[in-house]
Amino acid sequence: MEEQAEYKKTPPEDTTNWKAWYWGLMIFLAVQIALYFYITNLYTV
Amino acid sequence: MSLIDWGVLLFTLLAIVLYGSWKTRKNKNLESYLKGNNSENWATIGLSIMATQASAITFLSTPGQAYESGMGFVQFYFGLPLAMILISVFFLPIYYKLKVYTAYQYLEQRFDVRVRAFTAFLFLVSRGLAAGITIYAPAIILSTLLDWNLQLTCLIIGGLVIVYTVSGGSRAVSLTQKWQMTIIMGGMFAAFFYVLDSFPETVGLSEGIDIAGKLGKMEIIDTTFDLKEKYTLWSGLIAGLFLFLSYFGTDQSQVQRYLGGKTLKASRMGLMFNGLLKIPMQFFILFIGAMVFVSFQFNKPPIIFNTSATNIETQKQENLVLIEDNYNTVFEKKKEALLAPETNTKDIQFLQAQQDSLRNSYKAEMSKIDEGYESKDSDYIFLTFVLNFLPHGLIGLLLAVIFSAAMSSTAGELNALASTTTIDFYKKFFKNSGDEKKDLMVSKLLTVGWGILAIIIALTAGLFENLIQLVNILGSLFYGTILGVFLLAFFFKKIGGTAAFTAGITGQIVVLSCHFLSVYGYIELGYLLYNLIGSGTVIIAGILIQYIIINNKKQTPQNG
Repeated sequence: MEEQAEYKKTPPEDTTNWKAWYWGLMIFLAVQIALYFYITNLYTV
Repeated sequence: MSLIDWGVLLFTLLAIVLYGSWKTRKNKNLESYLKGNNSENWATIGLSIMATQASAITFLSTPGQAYESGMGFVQFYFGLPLAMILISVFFLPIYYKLKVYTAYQYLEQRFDVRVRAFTAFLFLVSRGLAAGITIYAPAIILSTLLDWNLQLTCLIIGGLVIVYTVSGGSRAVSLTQKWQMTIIMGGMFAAFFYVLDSFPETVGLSEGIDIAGKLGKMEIIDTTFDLKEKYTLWSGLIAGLFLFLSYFGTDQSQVQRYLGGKTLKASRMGLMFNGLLKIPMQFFILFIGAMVFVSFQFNKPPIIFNTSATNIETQKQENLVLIEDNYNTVFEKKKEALLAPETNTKDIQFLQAQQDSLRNSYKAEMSKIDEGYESKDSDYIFLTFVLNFLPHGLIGLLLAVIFSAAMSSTAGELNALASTTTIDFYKKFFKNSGDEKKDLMVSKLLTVGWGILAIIIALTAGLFENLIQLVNILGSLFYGTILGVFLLAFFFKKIGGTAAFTAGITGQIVVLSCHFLSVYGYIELGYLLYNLIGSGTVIIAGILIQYIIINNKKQTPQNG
């Protein structure tokens, strides 16, 4: 029983691919900047 | 405001307060009060982080900023996703590993108690003052436009926040922020559709964007490298990165939000959520402002938006009447030109310049008559639109949005101020009895104390002319130094407590000197750069003090 309780306390292993998240976030930022740049050039007064 | 608006406003606010208080009524110890027993999932953390940052003034000012100067303000947020990544990689694992309540606790483990107390003190000063202004800023706008009593508005916002923050602590703050953020975004989407609905039949979304573009409101990116300019691509990416690294990584009002996560993964996901959504959200709010600008090309706007902020009887002043007549004539000409398909863009731009010039002349004339008249009226633009163009019921919802935003930021601030005072000062220097019930009571009393102080600052804010402006740059005055100390802690393993403490004080002196030189016109600096200067000075000073002074002193007796 004690072992089981101990087992429950251990958080599940984090298998998330954080590198992919970070790269994805940076690419998303670059895409947004590119889009805003495009809009700016389209309407430069 | 109609009865239905009052109903929607009161129901929304009371429901949130009661929900927050009821759901968290079982807080029995300090851990559950300050960290919510680490029970939050990633979505709650993400929304809570966004709600803490977005104060009421964000939703009042940002659309007005796009209306006046276009959408360039979005560049301010470009450093934010990068900051989220760095915090997720370097800051979060350390906070989790050490199981800290406040970010400053880590600094004692890494350096010494002086460094911890110094950074915690800087946080209390800057955030303590800011909490009052978070209440005052929307209250002054709401009371001016709706003719509400200013003191009562401040008391209601502050009082409601105190109720659920005191009773439910950190968990109540996060849970209510989740619903507040949902109401905020729902209200803003509804407002957006009504802005589009206010266009003439022949003008749709794409024509609206085209008009905003022709009149300079869609210029988003500025690539010039000018230190005087506040919002450019470079200042957003570089100085913005330092600002957000400091705000999200070391400001307890944010750190407390993600330290309440179930797991390290949930906290990281919350940060990623913020990194993904923050820029689109700010873009959307600015875009609403640009579309309000388009709407006011066809629906005559008032020549100034804060007429009710002055006692001048404008209709009795000949000069003002004359300028307003000319303004109305130019408005009608421009409206015709915009609806006629063959009109040259330059003609429309010329008419817009004329209209802007008449608006400025009117403001100058108002300032001549009433010296106390505040000519900056952009904060009133969005609410003027809401009150004049939205249907009853939705006006109440939009006012609930503004109240919710004010309450969510203030709650996060009070919660963090109380935690820092309890953990970094009371338990550290005064009494560490180990009596959980007593500590919990002290923490609750401190929350009430900070809440009352925030309300007092809000009630007296009107006495200080430049207080709002002061508080806007206050964060940047202290964030650079705090971040510099944290960067020394994370990345310069050989730097000790004395070097870090001395470097922190040096950095703070340098930033304050830069600020005063800038205020008195000796140098020209955008305030975002204070973050870069502060953290840079602390790092350089820390390295120099450690390696040149401290290490040499240690070596001298050995050599001798």
